[in-house]
Amino acid sequence: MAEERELQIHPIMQESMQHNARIVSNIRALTASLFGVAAGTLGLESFPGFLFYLFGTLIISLLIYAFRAEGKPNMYFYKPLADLWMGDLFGGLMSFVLTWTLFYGLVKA
Amino acid sequence: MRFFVRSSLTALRGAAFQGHPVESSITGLDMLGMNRSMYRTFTDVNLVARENYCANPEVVTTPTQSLLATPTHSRSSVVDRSTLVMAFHSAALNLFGLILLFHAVYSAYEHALLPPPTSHPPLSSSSTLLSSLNPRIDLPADITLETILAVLILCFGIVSGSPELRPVEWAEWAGKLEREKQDLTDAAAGAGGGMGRNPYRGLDERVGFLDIRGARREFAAWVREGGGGAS
Repeated sequence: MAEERELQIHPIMQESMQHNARIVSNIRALTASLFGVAAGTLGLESFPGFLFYLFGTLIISLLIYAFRAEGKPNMYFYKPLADLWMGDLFGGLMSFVLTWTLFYGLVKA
Repeated sequence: MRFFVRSSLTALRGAAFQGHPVESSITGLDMLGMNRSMYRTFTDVNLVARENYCANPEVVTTPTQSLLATPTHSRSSVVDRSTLVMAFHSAALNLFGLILLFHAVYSAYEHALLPPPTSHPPLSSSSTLLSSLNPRIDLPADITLETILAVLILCFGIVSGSPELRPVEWAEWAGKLEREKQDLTDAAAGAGGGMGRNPYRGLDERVGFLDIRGARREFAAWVREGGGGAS
């Protein structure tokens, strides 16, 4: 009820939300495969590799926070925690694993 | 009268921007709806415009119509210089990062082709870290650093090269549009629509006063003339 009232007072642009979500997921998809390349080249195995991915997505979130959202995530995301910090956290995991194994095989084999 | 209406609109808009609820304003359109009703109490121009629209639908667009035309989000044809510079920077960064990454990956590959040393150097393992979490990297430090640096550069390039985010709040969004695109002429706004269009234009550029009876007389004359010519 309180949330509905808040929405009525400050209406939300649906299109802007979609636009922002698309940009964030684009960035995440691009960088996930990049992290895979790095993890495979470094020869990481099992847990360190996934930790590397989590660390990388955290860095990406920080970069978006600093340079795209200009330090005001509330202005650009309706729910900053869900849309910016946790948004698409595991969406790029599959492409990460793909390039990770590919480059691990290329470099080590 | 027009000045009065405009100033009252500006006041109302300012209130909306600062986030104060304007009485019972529900959504953006509803807010505009209230503007219209206010406007109607001041003058009867809206009524006149509607009458005129009924009389000659192709010439006059009512404020309501232009308001309800939701702006599409095509990119404006006018790109300011800083955006271009930024795009160039990010492209250069990406290129540099890609070259670094390529070099690092190829170095790692070459390093893997080397014959293994007879006495393997002991891997650094700290006692505080779990052995399963210890990244066993047997690459030289310079290749490791180069890889990580390349990835960081590419990350920065990708993020800074991505298009700008848009404010999600309606008031913020509309205010940003209005502030940024104030100087754009109708040519840009009319051609592209989208971001170049001031969402309050329908309210700003209304017919101040119209001699509706005169217009109707003219229109009737025009119809009579055309009908006579055609038949």
